[in-house]
Amino acid sequence: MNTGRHGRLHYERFAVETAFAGKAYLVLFLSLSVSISVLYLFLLPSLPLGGLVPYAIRFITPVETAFAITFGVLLSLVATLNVYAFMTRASSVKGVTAGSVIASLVNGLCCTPLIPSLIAMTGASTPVLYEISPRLQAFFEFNSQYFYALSVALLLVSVHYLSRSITACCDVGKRGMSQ
Amino acid sequence: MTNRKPGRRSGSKRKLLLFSIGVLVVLAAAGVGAYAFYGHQQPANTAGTIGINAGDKAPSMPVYLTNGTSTSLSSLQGHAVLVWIVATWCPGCQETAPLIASQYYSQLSSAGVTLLTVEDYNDLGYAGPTMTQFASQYAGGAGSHQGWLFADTSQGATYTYNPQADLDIWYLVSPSGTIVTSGLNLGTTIQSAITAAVSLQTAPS
Repeated sequence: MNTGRHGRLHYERFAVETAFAGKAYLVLFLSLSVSISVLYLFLLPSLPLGGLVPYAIRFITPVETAFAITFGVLLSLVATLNVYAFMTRASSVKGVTAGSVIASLVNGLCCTPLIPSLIAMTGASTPVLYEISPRLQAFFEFNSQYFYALSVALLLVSVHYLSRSITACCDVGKRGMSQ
Repeated sequence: MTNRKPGRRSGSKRKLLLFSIGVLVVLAAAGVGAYAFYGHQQPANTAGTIGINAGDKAPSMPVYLTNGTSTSLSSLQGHAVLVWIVATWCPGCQETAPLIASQYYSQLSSAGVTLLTVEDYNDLGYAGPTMTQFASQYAGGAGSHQGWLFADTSQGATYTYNPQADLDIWYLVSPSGTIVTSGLNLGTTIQSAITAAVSLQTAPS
């Protein structure tokens, strides 16, 4: 994260303070945070079942709980800053955020027919399927915490680039006004 | 110099955008909620694309029960049998077993269904709990529900019933030994199995 000429996290602090000066953005951020976090609290333990099953929340792990809340807050921050960037004509960041959403859903690749079907579509025989498919599914399931970390890292990168863009756009404006 | 100030676009445009986002969020939340509470029961496979076709005679399957005895699927004829083939390390299967025990076992039992949970041969090559451990950790123990059996099977039967190496696959076998329907991810498709089992029970023989 940035420790540039204005001190630690200058861009991020400036962007957040500037955007949240508007009450509408703060309301948007808070409502999105709660909605996305709750959605992920239900979604993460449901993914191995192959559908959204509210009952599955009883199987949520501490890692999944922490990730659901962190992801909800960070994705909401990115969304809010993106809206703010759009309104102020600063550059928005989309690709990295999309990558983080994909990484956050990786444990859906275990237990569902997605991987076996994709491999079967290549024309692979049953022994080949037995060699590859379970190992791939196990890999995604038992390493999901690394994909969660990747997802959070991508969101932090999004926040950083958005903050730089907003700072470049609006800090110049502010300083220009004060002179 | 071009100063860019926040809020340079018109206030009404900003309100419209924020209102649109708010509406989208509410709609998405409503959609997710509706799906969660009403739509998560997926239809079972009736087209017969999973392993063995519906309507075919169930191929032979050796059944090595956790109590140490050996039998076969055909020896269970006379009852409808829900054959649930699992990898014991699969989290979806570990979540489904207690879901069945707490919410669905009584319905299966009243429909006269024997639930046969079978571990894929060698757990699909990945180490997981034994079937005895699976039963005790996730289903209250192998003997806790009469008519719910836990077993291992052979490599040949695993290949026949589960040719794509799915982690969670099931077949409903009629009392006469015919495949009625099948599906993946029993936790989200079990209602289809129960409906099919009930219609088997009420169908004229």
